[in-house]
Amino acid sequence: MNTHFLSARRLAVIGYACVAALVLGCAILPLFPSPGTTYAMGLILQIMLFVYLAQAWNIAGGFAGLFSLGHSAFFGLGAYAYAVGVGKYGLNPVLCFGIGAFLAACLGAVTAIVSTRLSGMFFAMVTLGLNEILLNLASQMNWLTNGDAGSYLRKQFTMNPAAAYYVFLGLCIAIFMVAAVVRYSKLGTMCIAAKENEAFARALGVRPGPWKAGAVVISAIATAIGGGLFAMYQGIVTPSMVFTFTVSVKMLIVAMIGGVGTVWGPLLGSFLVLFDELVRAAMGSSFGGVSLVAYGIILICSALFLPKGIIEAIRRATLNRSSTRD
Amino acid sequence: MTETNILEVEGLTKVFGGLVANEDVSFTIPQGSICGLIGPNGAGKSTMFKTILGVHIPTRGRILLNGKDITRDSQQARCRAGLCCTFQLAESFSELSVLEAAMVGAYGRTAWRSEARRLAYEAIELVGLLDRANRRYSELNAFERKKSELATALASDPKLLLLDELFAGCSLQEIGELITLLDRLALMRGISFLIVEHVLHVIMSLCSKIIVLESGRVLEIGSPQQISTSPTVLAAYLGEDYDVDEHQKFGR
Repeated sequence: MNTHFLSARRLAVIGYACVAALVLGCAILPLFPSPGTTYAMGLILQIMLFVYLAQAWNIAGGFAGLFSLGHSAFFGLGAYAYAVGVGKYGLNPVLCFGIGAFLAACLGAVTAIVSTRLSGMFFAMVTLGLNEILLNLASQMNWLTNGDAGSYLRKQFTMNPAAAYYVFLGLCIAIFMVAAVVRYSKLGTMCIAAKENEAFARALGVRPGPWKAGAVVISAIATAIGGGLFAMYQGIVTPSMVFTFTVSVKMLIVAMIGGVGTVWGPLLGSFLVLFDELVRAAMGSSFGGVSLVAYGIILICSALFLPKGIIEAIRRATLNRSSTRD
Repeated sequence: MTETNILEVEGLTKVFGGLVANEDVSFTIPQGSICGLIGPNGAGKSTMFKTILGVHIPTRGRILLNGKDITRDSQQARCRAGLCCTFQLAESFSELSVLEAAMVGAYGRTAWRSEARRLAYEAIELVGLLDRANRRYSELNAFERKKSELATALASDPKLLLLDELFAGCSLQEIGELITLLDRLALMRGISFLIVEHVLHVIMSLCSKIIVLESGRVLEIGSPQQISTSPTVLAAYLGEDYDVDEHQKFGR
């Protein structure tokens, strides 16, 4: 019986080779213009956005175990900071990203510090509520956000799709590097220790609060930057577009299916977005809401068969347990 | 000859609501010794363990570590002062490798990753688990898990290590290996141990001093010989027909 044949090192090499090929493929795709390429680029852009957001979510939800159901709050803050700052007050775009990131970081730090003093699901509830509050504020504060009609951006403050494609590609690469650094730094080790066995971590002198808050701050800043770029790409921000449960759930599910708390999980979960878009393109006109049904089915299947995500399943299936001592 | 004590517990009382878990418990642990804490179920061993660790704050009484009062210190402060533990169910950090788990302990002493790695490797080498250093905790067998947890605790450079039922579920050969290891740590590193244990023959052959708790109070304190012949202990815990010779099978 020789089904388990890879050492950990060889699995890692194969994994990195696949990632490099994928990045290279995405990078050179726009050099071959055709209608098909344009369609594919649109699709890949969607995927990249959610892989980025899923990884941002993963830094808080996966590494620190603070399971957020309202990361769209940070996403929307970033989007509105850019749209309002640039569109209404004519501020420097970079400054607007800074403001969005700062607001998200403050909000994230406060929620994290409050919720680490309480138990498990509190953070999920708080973030969920936070998103609702911001949704209502954004739609009521007409003088600032132009309410439900949304804030428009003039053309010079938006990105064309080709530029957006490369920006999001760069962003994805960056967030994976950030996630890897966080995971293998003191911050990541302390967060995972506190998440997995808080009693033992405390006995070892770890104070969970500050470490978890640090992870949430990084996660919130990354999400806000994603929101700002999303606004830049769309040219319009409305409350129901950014402060929506759909965005929160989508980033969470992508991370969960790929593998929560792992560096490469969110990438493997990306097929879900692809699947979603394809199903919607094929059947969306005849069967409204079909993608939600598909989501549900995938989530049930993954909970049943891949409780720890795709990445764990790959690890289990390929690693030769008797010779992984390297 | 004056004997210095690493731990002194004075008149410790812990009340949960109306339940008195520990009442007026006093004992000392001499520097570099291995002491045992035994007693029937519900005698207050776990409460004692957690109170010393700082999970519970005692209702009355004092705890001195190395002569310094730590009764109201946080767990972080206690860990820095040299107090650490392993828990009853070997449940360390299942997603982390043996190395990373030990680094959690080492990070208490240093902020640098490379230094933490070095200290972690040192601790893993001490328990003899180097060939498993990159394995995940969840991929180890029960005995390796115990050793991994011990390495994690050792990486924090403890002066006093509290072990909660470390020997539960180990084979005779594994128990022998752990006893040799603890002996070596006590001798070479000067680490003192307080062992909460149900496996009596381990306690009888390993410890120089045994504290027997019963119904939250100290029933008896003494050497294995004194304990195994004390009429009160025999009546309350060991049983009248207890034979100490049979139980000192790991003679040192």
